[in-house]
Amino acid sequence: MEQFAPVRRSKDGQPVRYLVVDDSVFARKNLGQMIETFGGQVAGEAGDGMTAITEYERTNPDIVLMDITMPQMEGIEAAEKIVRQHPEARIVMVSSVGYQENIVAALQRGARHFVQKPVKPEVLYEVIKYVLGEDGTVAQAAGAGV
Amino acid sequence: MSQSSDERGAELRQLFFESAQELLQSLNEEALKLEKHPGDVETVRSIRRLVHTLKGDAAACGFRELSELAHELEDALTVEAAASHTALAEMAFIAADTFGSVLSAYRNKKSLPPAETLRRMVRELAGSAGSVKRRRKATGETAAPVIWTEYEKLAVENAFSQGKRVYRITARIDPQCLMPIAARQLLLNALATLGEVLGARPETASPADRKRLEFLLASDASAEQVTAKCHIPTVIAQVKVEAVKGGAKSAKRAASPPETEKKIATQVQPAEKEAVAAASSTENDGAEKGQAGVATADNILRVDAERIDNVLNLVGELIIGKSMLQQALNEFARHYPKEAIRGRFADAMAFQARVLNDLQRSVMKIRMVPVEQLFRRFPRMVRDVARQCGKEVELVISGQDTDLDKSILDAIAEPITHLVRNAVGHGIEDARERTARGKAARGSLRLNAYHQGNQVIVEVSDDGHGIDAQKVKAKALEQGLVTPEEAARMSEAETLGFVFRPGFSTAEEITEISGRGVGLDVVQSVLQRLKGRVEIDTRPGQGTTFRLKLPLTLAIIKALLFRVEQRLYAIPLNTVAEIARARESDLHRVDNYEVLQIRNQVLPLVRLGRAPVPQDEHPAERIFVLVIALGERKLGLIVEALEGEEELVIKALDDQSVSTDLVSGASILGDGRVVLILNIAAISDRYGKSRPGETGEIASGLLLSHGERARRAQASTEVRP
Repeated sequence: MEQFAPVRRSKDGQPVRYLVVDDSVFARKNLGQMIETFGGQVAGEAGDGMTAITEYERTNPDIVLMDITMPQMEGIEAAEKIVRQHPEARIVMVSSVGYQENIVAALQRGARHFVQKPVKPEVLYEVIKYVLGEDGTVAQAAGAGV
Repeated sequence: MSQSSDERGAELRQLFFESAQELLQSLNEEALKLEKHPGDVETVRSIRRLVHTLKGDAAACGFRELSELAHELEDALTVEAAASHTALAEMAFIAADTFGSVLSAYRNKKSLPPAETLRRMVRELAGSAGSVKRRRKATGETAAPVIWTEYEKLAVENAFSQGKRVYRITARIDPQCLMPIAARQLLLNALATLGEVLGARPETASPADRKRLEFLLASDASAEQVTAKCHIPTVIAQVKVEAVKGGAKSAKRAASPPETEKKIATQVQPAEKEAVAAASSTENDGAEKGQAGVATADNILRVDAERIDNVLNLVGELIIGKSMLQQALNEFARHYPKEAIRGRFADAMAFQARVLNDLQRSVMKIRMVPVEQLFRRFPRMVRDVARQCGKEVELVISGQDTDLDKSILDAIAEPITHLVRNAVGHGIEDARERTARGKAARGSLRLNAYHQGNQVIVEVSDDGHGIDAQKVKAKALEQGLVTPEEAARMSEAETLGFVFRPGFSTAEEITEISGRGVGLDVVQSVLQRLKGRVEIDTRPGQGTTFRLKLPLTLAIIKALLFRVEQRLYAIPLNTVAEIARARESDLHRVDNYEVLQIRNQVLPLVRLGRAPVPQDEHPAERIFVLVIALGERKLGLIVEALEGEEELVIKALDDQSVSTDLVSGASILGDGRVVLILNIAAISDRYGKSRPGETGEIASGLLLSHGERARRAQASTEVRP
């Protein structure tokens, strides 16, 4: 059940690199484990929006998983700032139902997609593939649809 | 939960329990803050955020009930609700407790406790803010035929006139997706990349729970392209794209109204944006302030304490190895006093010793945690206890940065809790009594911690009515714990020491009069186990301070080594006040105690070894007397010879090998000899209890009476490393 065909970067066949932003260590770890099952790689982690921006600059990830509610700088603002600097940034908002309005705001400010908490791996997997679009390829044409 | 194997799941759960505990702690702290400043918006947001994180983490771990409970609370915790509801702090406290008990039920795999109180409060809160209405409405909506406005129709015509194709897109939101508004926005974003969205149903983001969306899109793309773009996984379940007919007909007719089209676009969009922007900016404000406490440093590693203990243990072995080397080197030097290589050995040894020292200190530092970890649980407790007793108590905490060995910290948690409880419950008077005595109505309780030499001091002080030493003495006499003569001789500190006797303080009157409740003996026994001490400082009418003196670490002590009956023993160096030399003839007997006069003080003595047989007494024989200071009390230990001082790595002895409390541990010296470390507190106690007056013998041979066992222990541990 938990096997996902690894998703690679189209341009060089390397693992997709992620930046995981969440103020809960637990949530980060949880997402990190999912990312590993997708054949991806956690390039960086951040516990607040401010760090997320500097980590983005440092790691230049393929995908950012961004929590909404965080100390110091919230996810929306961080997402907005990142997209302004890097319009190509693929930011996926991760949050629970209660913060729908904030997700909408983030989407209006350039976030590419959203996943609701608790994150289900199969959902995240589909979202990742969608967000990567042409830039991601599923290695070994194994079960694409879950 | 399909993503994790068992092992991973267990690890995650462990992490969850730990972080959840921290969340609850913060929740308590925020609740206290809210109680002080009711209706404070920042605090309410902060609480909401904590509950939110807990909800998310719980859900990810598969703890559905907890997640749902947190979800209900989070939903109800709107700012409007906070303003209208006064008992919010109370609710936060109850929430913290309820979550706590649910967590421990999960952890112990027990059935979940009822959460009705919390649920009821949540319902009340939700009701008062009218947020229930908002949620319950409009779930079962059916596909009513969409009616486009005149403006939209005009826009369509206009698009046709520009030669664009117009599509009507009907999409159904994935039932798994619980965020239809966000889904709508995402679809809107996707469509915007293709062309211009002329109309949308539902019109704005406000009416939630609509699963069916309709858009009018003007675009150059083909129907297939549009369909492909609208297939957004996990969000959109079904899409139907139809081309709107009649373009050619109306194309000519409607070349005029481009303004109207613009107007629609500028009317609909900004309104939506404003609403959302407002919502998000308030969230941002909340995040910027008052959130520092929850921020977790990224550079912190969670390590199993056992692993650190392992390292520390190995460092201990290294230290033993170092002394082995040193001894071998000494021997070598004796055999070859002229060998030049000795100097190089000595240099290497000195270097190694220094590094080893640093290593030991660093490892010990890993085990150190700030006392705050313990102190932070008290604000809530003091509040609860004070409330129960109908008192007003202010808690002042200082020195919370003081570091302490984790195992010591864990061990003193219970005693300190005890002392705090007692201080609030019994030590501090109620407001009426306080004002009658001319004190501030609000009592004050202080927790303080600081370093002092090789010790850490933790103080619990109150400004209550103090302990009346005379009443304690009277009680001790009544219970037959002391004779009247002894009582007359006792210093105040000795007298107060009685409150630590098991069973002593439980007596009703004492509890009421002196205000010290049950179980102070627990405090005493824990402190003894830790090789620490507890002192009482009290002034009638002004308050009491309990001072806990703790060693910095349990693993390594500086010890004084000495011989009794040819055997090697050690005591912690910090208990030794001084070492006196004497002759047997200097010793006197008072009431069957042996005493020694040092300067102007009379020092009671304990013979660890056998007393010399009277007939072949050697009055000139030299002996050593170790003067031990235990709080106010001094005691002399008679030993035969001193061996020196050394840093000992304590090896705990299990109960099978030693069943006397006179020995608290053992250590191995560099030459492989085993030394037993004596428990000074127990020896002093034994001295106090062995009532020489009754047996007619002097206190001697203390170690010998338990000697057999101790010797067996020694034999069993005597292995060359």
